[in-house]
Amino acid sequence: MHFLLNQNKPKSLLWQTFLLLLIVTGVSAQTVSVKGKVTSSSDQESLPGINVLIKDSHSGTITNAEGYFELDAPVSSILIFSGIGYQTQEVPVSNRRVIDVVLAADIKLLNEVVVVGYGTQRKGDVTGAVGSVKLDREINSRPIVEVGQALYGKIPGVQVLNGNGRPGSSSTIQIRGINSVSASSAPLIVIDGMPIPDYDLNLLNAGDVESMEILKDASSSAIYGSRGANGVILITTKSGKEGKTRFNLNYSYGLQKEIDRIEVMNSQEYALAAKDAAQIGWIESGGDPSAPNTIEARKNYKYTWPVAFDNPENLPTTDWQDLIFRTAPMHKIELNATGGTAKSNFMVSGAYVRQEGIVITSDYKKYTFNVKADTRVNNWLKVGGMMNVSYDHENEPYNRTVEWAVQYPTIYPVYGNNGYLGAPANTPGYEQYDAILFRPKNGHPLYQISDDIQHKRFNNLGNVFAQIDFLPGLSFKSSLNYFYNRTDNSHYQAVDHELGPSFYTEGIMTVNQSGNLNYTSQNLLTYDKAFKDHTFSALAGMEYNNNRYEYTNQERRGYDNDLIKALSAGKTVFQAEDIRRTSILISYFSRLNYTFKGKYLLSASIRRDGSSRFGPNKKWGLFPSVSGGWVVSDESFFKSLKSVNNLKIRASYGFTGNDRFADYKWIGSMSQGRIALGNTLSTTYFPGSITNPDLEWERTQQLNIGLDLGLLSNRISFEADYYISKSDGLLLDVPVPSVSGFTSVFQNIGKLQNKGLELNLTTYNLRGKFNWNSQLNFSLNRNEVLSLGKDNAPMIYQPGFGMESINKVGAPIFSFYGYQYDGVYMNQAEVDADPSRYSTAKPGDGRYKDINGDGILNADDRTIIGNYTPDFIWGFTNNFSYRNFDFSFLIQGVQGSDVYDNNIHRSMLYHEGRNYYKETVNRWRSEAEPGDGYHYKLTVDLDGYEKTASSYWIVDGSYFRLKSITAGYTFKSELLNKLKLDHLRVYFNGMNLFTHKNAPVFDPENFNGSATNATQRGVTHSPYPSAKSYTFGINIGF
Amino acid sequence: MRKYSKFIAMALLAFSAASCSEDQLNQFPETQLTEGSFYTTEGQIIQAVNDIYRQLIKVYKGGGIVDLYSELYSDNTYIEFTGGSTTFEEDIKNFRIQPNNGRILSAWNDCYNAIYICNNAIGQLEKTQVAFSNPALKERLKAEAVFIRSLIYFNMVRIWGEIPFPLQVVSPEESYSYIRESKDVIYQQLISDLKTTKTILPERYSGSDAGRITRYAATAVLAEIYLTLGESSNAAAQLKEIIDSNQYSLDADNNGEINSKDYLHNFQPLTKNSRESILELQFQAGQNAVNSNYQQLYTPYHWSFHLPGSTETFRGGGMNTPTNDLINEFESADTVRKNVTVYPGYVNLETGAFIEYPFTQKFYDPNWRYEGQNVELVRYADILLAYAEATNDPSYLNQVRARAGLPAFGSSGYPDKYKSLAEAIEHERRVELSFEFHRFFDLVRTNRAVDVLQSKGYDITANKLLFPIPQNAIDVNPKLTQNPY
Repeated sequence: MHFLLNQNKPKSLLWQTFLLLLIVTGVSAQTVSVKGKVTSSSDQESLPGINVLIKDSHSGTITNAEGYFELDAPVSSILIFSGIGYQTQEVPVSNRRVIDVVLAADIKLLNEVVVVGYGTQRKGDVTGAVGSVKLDREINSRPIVEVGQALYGKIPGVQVLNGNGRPGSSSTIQIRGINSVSASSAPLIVIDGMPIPDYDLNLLNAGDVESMEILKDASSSAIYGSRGANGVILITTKSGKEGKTRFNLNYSYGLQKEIDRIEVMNSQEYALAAKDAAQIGWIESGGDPSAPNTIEARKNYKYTWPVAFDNPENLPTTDWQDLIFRTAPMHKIELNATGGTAKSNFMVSGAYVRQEGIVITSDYKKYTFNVKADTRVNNWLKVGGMMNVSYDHENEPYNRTVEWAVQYPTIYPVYGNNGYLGAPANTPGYEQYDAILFRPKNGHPLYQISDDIQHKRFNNLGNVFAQIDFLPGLSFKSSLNYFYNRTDNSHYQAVDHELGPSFYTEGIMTVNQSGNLNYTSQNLLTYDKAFKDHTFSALAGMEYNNNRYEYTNQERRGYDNDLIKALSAGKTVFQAEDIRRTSILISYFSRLNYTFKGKYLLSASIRRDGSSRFGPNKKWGLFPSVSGGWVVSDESFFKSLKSVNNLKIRASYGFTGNDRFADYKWIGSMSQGRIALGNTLSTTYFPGSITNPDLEWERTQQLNIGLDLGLLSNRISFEADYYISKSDGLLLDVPVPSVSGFTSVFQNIGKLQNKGLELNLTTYNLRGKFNWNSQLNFSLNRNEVLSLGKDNAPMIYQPGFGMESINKVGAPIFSFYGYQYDGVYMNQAEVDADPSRYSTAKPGDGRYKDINGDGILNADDRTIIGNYTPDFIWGFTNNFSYRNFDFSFLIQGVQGSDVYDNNIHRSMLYHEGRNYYKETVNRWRSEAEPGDGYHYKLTVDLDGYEKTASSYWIVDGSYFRLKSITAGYTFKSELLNKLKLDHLRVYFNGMNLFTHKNAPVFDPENFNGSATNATQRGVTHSPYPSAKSYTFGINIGF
Repeated sequence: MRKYSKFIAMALLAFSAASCSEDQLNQFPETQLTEGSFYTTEGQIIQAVNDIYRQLIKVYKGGGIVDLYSELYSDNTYIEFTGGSTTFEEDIKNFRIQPNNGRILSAWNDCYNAIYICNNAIGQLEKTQVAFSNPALKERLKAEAVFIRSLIYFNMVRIWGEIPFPLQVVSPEESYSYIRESKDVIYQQLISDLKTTKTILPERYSGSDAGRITRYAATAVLAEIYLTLGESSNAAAQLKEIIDSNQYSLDADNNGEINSKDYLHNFQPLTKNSRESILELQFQAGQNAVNSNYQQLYTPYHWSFHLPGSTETFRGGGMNTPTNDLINEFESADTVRKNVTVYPGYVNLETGAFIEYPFTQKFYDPNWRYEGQNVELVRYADILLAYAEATNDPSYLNQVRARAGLPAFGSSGYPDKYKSLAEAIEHERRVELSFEFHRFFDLVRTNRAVDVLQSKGYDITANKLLFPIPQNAIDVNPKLTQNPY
């Protein structure tokens, strides 16, 4: 068993790949021409595409389609034969002219080690479900700032979402479905063995990461006990290797653009829509259709329209999305040095990212430094450690800027004639509509452009360890891990909105600071022993974790102007508050791995966690797991099947927990109130929550059955996993009769289930001068709520913007809930024929389904109208190489996901004067112009179900996209020798260049909510969109 | 020695880790008090009881249950413009409430949370071992809490009819057994509780106790219960006690003259607990004070809106806009009451255009960001009108009219429209008390709601005089039955 920081790490795939690709025909004085044939030991077939390299040089060649090679080599040199799926062989030339070589099939793929909880394991011995991503050349060619982006489309069962496109924000990662309602559904992140207290994938520089392993099933993650239920992401940073010190410099320059635009009406279409809405409202209010368009005739401005709308062809058009989006440059530079001796190694690195955002005023900088070293002091003691420092600084644009750019009508200029923001009040002909229909306040995209929103984050994490090997196979490792985060946020809300003094606002500055110090003391005892056919590996450990969080928040109000955007300039102190929290986790854990004859595998683990978050009756929890595997292909009866070189069947079962809820949650609190009797302020206290001494972790039990198959010397490898997990003791705000004074009690009561299938196929399609390998993965997950609180009363949530979602037994978690939209009433006959029509229904209105068939449309007809969870997700990676060229692309897709688009909802509320989404052009206008039968008419008097959550607001979130495309060229060694370089590659990368989708949103992945809050996924109101990018980079090794 | 050094090193490392104590798993909040450690001093118990005044505000706030039922659900108000998030209010306004109405649900939950806090206050006072420096204070505090609980229940029973009726703190487990109690039982309990509390509560308070519940507040609510139950003579007896106490007068500004300025005095931003005031919500304007939300909520939903005399614009909530029908209810000579009840609109400062969008000025506070005008729930004019109703004696109605400078009922200048005393009182209560949370209660109490509102074209039937029980409450406890709706 190896530990995270051991020297015995997998060689960097990056370097291997470079070596493989070097094709140089160097010639020197004492050379001979050597030729020969390479064949396979298993079937004696000739092997094309085998690399033949002269050791200690950059020269080499590759075998042709018949397996032959020919090259000039020094008489005393050594040839290295290597190829994917075969063991590398070194053969001295020894003055020979013909060298035929037989290569043995490589079992190294199975010997490769993967990082698992508190250790490493031979890949061939893994009995759980562990996905692994090496940050290879393809991934490192992408302009990735946070490492979550590297997981896109790579591992089945792992969905990556770019919640919004703000630089510096963390991707949302969902492993095998949502299994919690109230607690976080984000996975645990462990960096070099350190569990990180909060989900954040932007702590490191992606270039410092060697690999990421995802522990998906319960047997792999049970060793993390009460924090393992959402899966675990193990991040391993790069280490130094024995050999000369190598420097690696990577610089990239990219240009980013918004991934898409949202189509809205142009001025002509908008004018027609506005007139329709006013006229239909007027007629339906009983007005004379031919009444003149004047306030005198129609009494209310909402039934009239600006006369300019009668000549729409003369209206100007401002493209607000043009105004706020920009082509934004991005620079990234990374430099690292690695090296080591037989006893010690080190790695130091630094990186700098400077990224302008695609939305105006958005700006980001990030600095990271990383040091990692270890040394073997003597034959029994090894010490080492690592430290990573990152600092980033974001200027965030006001969070509704993009939404406004989508919805502000195109008919206004950016600035009106008095220099104020373009608006009805300063646009001739629209003055009367300033108050009534259209407004720049909270609407013009530049309304809050003078706000100043800044986030500064300082992260420092690291560890020191000592490892004592005091008997053969028995070692003890003690480490102290720490994590410190300091975050400074400030938000200045400007006084002046470029609308003149009567629209000055108060001016508010909010500043807060938080500090989070988390440290973990870890002691691990391991014992590895092999005798005869038996191999044992045992682990016992204990961990003490202390998390301290402190936060202060200050706010001043009352600013005279925007000259000084600082607290001190505010006239009154509005509030000052603080939060201080401590949580403690004490854990004991153990694991035993046993292998018999290398083909019968058994692993069992157990963890006992004590947490301060849990109630006094439930302080301690136990999380056992067991798993087994059978390497069928090693059985004698299987040996005859030559084409199958690996077949393994795996099964696992285990328990994990979720403790991701607030500290002190079990304790009934006394909250503070204020009263003003006798015009004197005094403080009151009232019970704010109920004490629940039985509060404990959520428990997930999961069964995983898997199959690994390797064919044709692993040219084809296939993995399949089926899992079913049940989570119980779910923490729910269980609704209780409000007679108790509370609407809900936080209790461990609910149950839900996730089951799914994951398939992964890796193939080496072509070998030779032209290399092509691909990886295809597919996964699906089915989620179902099994039980809720007493009587399984459904729980309804407001995920935002008027939508409702429901948790209901038998349905997937957080399903969208509302009326089922059923097209337009095309004429009066259709209205009359519908027994469940609502009282105000008229031709052109939307119709909604009478779900319970009682002939009445009412709240009982609400039903599940969609769910964000996709039917399946997939990813397809292809890597090609030809001579010095390399080319890769990744396509990933999501199918069967529903998104709530608030742009549809809000743009229909005419009286706020927002622009409409483009599809509304095909609306019902009259029986003669019935439109597409789906989009109902527009009116200023919405009196039906237009404002109530319905499937009219739901759009199809399915998409597939060319996520990444990379082309590179590695320079030949003559040039490198002249330049005294080891390595030189230039490349181009494109991200998100093409997307196929149906929804009229920027990106179906984007949503308005936090990365860890599952309730808000799929709820979108034109958030800061994802970017597409074009990046050029250069990578230099010396 | 050297051969043992690795064991020593290991022992040291292991010891350093194992020395952490499992006692550390007991962590308690550092920045907040906890339930388990509270109620240990007289001061803390008083602080817990005082919270009942916050609860009273919660039930009466703009958008609270009393506001929704008495004003929004009436012919006094309508909604001109709002954002997209007021579907529930519009359904109330249009008399087509669905049981899933979110505003009614949150109002229901607010009511029961307020009841819980009152019950908790009463329970803590009853069971505390802490010796009060003044034992009478303990009794008085309990009477205040019983009063506020009774007033909240009185509103609830009028709005929902039969309701769960806990009189002590109920655990979540026990709460399922609290189903809808008969109105009879509820009213008898309220009457008995109010009778008891009025004997304990003082006639008046001074200093920093001003605004607490007085004997006459309890008497007034008791009278209104009797009136609602049709027990006129019982109501009259209670009302007479208030009138005879000489504590209150229509001379709100206490300058010795009774005139229309006294009416206006009630709605001045700085008026607190005037001569006319019997029960009043206690607010304080300014940042970090006790702010109300009426002016914010009831002003026009226009970005360019500003208060009279101010150039600072703010968008109001667009709720409770006065109807033309209400504006027309005012007699032409009744300008003082009309002008404070309804302000016609505002001037758009950018374009100079006058925007007709009426709003009430009864909650006027120039400190609009942090408003804090006290709001009267029971004032003497209401008592006089109620007494006229209970006794059929128009002289008390005419006292109210005289203050507004209007001719007496029965005199020559009195409008012909209102023939009977009942009609005259109905009219007077509307013009005197609109926006003060009486209108729909009055119409229901006098059995006039369906007639009056139907005649004005509202989609109302006898089924709609009660609000539906929130669907969520029934989902949680299916033993609760639904009202017709």
